[in-house]
Amino acid sequence: MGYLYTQLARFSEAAIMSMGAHLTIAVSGIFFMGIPVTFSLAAYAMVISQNFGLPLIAALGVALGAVLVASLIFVLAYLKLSADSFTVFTLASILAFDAALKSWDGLTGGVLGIAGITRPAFVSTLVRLAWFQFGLAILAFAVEQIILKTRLGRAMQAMKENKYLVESLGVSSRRVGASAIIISSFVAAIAGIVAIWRIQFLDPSFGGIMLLIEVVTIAIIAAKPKVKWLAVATLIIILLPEALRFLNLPSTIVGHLRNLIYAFILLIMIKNISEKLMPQKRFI
Amino acid sequence: MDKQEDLIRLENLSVKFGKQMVLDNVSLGIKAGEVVGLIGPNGCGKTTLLNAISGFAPLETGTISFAGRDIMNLAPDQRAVLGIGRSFQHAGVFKELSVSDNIIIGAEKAEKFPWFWMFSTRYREKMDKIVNNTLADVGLSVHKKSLAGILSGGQIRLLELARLQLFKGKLLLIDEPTAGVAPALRQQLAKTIKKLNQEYGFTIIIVEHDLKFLFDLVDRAVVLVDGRKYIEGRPEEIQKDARLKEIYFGTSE
Repeated sequence: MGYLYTQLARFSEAAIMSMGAHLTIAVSGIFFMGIPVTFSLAAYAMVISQNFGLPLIAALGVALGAVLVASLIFVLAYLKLSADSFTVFTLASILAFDAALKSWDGLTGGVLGIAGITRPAFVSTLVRLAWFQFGLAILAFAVEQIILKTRLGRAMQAMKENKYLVESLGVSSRRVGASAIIISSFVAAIAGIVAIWRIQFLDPSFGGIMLLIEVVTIAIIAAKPKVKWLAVATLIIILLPEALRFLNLPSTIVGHLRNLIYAFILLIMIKNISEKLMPQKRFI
Repeated sequence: MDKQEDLIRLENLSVKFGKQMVLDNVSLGIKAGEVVGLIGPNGCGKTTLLNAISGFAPLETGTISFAGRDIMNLAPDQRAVLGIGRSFQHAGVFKELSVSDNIIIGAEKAEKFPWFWMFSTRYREKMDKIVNNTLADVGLSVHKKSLAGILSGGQIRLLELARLQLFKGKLLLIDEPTAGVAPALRQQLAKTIKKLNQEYGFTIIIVEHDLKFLFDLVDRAVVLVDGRKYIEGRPEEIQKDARLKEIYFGTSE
């Protein structure tokens, strides 16, 4: 049963995190790659704050405050840079954050990380935690469903198709894009916090490029602005590599094989849905 | 022309793309309620002029004032809020949104509803009414739930103009409304544009290559050649110009 609850928790974490990527990449057409940064930043900020003796609520406040600052930096980059440069900036932020975590070892534990992280009492067992995370995942889906039905959601979808046309209707594409980035950063932060309660160990690999690959793959597969597509894509990406566990392959091959599967799925999906996913040339 | 009465006034407008001067020192005043046509050969700067007015093309030199206010520092969305509406030469609708969502996205901005209204039944009923009336007006009710991408070129133009009817503004910039539209639908398009001017009170600047279609609609036409204003006047005056005949018909006869 422990294995099943772990998979339920992994699915929930990926679903929460990917909801943000779905809103930015699949719905708004903004290639925001900074999700692993806010995912990891929130976890580090909370754990470090608790190590300094802050109670859970205050530590959560510090974590969300840190994520707010990071998301505002991403928004500033979004407003000032071209779309391509923004994507490169957010990709570079993952490497910069990783370097900072490794260098500032007095605070972050460096490459050795921080061990012995305790769960809050209300999710003290894996079963409780898994159901709590699943509840949050359902909430994330519901929030996205509501957003998609609102003025903001419609503007996000429209912006992906034609930013100029959206602006000609009096809608600020800057505000819509900034909202998508902030929402995305915060849901990734929530995913990071609940994920660290499961893993109970934090090191720089917690929110790296591998996490980005997983999240972007889910967002790409769920290319349509539909919550059910996001749920199915998350399920595929989380469960597909698990099937490989039963093939008796050496663990070193399994890791590479999983990446190959991701790459293969990406290729198929991009081939089939590239017109919907990729930003189109705009003519005005 | 009395500058005080102009709804929009362009003074010495120049736009440069790289080293190429696309608009060169163009000045133009348009009074409230006028329908003005912009014509000229391909690449003469017609669409660029519309882009400059709506804020999509940065100016090299010149000033633009709208309703007596300098709008030079306003972003495109702020100019739209101020009352400058726009249709585009290509992709004037959101093809991946439903036909009704294409209307709603224009209506909810124009109506300036408070954001929390969108969760209320009253909002949904009001939106439903607006969508139904607007689509019925252009004969697209049957496509209400369809994706806009499945519509024909003419139907897309009608949907775009239907959304413009809801625009709460004073000036509409319409770029090549007949592009990709079957001849059978052109009459309906002309009727809708006339309605936008006569019933809804919009001042309209329209770019169009089909001169017959254009001259039936406009009070005044402005001819651009190589980014410069070549001539302006009433359609019947413009049509007598030898160079214009040469540009459009290959003969000055």
